[in-house]
Amino acid sequence: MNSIRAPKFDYIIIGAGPAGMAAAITARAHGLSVLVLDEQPSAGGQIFRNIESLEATRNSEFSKLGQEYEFGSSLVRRFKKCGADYFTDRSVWQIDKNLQIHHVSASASKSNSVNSHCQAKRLLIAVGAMERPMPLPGWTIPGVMPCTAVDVLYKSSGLIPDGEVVLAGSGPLLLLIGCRLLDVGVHVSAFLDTSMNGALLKALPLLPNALRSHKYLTRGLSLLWKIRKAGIPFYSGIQNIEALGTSKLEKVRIGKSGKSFDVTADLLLLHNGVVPNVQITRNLGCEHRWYDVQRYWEPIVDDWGNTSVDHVSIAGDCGRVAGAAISEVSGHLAALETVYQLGVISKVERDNLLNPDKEQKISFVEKCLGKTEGPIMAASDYMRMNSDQIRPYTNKSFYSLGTDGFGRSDTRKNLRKFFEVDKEHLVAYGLSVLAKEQLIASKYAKEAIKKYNIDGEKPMPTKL
Amino acid sequence: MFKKQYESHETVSIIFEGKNLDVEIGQTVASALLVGGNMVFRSSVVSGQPRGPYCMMGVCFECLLEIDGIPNQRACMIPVREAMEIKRQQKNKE
Repeated sequence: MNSIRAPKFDYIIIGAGPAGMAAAITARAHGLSVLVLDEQPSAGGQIFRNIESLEATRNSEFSKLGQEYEFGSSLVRRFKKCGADYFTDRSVWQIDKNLQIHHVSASASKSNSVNSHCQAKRLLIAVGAMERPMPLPGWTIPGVMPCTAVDVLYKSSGLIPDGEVVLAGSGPLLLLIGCRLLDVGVHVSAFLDTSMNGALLKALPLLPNALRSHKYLTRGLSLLWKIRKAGIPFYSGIQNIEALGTSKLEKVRIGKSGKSFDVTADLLLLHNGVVPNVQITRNLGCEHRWYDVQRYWEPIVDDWGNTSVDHVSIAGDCGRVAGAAISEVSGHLAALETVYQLGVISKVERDNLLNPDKEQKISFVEKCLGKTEGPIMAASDYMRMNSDQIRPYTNKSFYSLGTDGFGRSDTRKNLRKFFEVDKEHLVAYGLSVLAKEQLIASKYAKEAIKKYNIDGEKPMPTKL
Repeated sequence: MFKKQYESHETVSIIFEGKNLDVEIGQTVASALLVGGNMVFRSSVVSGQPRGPYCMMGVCFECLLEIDGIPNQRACMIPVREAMEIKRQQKNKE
């Protein structure tokens, strides 16, 4: 494809939102080489969009955005310091089966549209969620937008809607954005609730569960109360919405129980929840399933975010939409799995790092050998690599002997003698190890070498 | 449809449909044009109907413009640059 060799990374992360940033921090803490590719001009994802400059230049507005933003800005600061390579303004347009990733400038111009590629050992997709597209008549007329578009315009450029605004749809985000608009003095001329009649009744069996996170319920009610108190006409059970206008939005036609009426509007903001952005996982051929509770397709993953495609995992809202706090945790989780998969830490260590508040697990090897004294010596009729595999599971000094190299194997006895793993060599080598660790005097090792006729001049099998 | 909540200081000059516009730096082409009241960015290649920015996050491809001679650029993803030349994408372009 391209004659320039692709730069290699242990871990490539697509997306610099809460999940991607958290994963980069954790992977770097364990010494992996990390590259983060993000489409936006600055880190933070959609939720913490433009957060650095917001904090630096528009501090009074920053404080209005709430406590969550303190968390966001500290995450961005830690991410910037973690030592990961980080490219902004990159759109990933192709991922090969061998995890070669092709990316191009998101804001292409004649000078910077150069295509690049890079090679990953493991890939994390953390591209987040997007508004659920809900077509309605006239939704392509300029002036109809999803409500998060207004959030983006506010955070990145300090823009607020001008004129008559109509909000339509359902869900908590619509309420939140409605309240933010009221805060900055925008005129909201109608709030159209499209939740089906009887939806509340249907949700009633879930109330006991919901009460356990009553904080969210209280917050929702207070948002609703604020909108009602502001005197905004609130219409519930709306069944039909139509946007009318030629080159721009002029009116919104509202239909309920067979009747309809019009309100004038310059901006119609829609919201029907958010769905995972599954473009990349679908193109990679990851298995997906229909999640009926939230009604969207989601990639099938295990507890660690691994997809059905080898070495590809996901974190954050591009799996199951759960918000910034959970996305951050899922980023750490996916990164620890990668650190384990790449052989940097053991499985037990991975589990312990994830559960610092619980009793720390002990590996089977450590259980067997932990209470013994002195170094561990392992001997095998196979290559040393075989017994070396348990080396990471014990903290003791570890010596392994095996049959690496070229040599005779006419009988098992000759093989062991040639490769120095017979009983005589084991005794002599064992005593040398003890002498090296200063547990016995070296004369015992010398005596054993003499006693068993071990030829010090015999060439090493690995050197033959 | 949109207005600035506060006044800015640093600006760059861009050219939209042959006219010079002074816009604040650090924002995208889409937001710079929206503030100026420009809502129609292109016309649908199928129906010819007007189209403008929708998602503002690079997903929907509704805000495509011709920027510095390159067509089909997502206006919501591209920061404004000095002397940037921007054109609408019309279905039947002369």
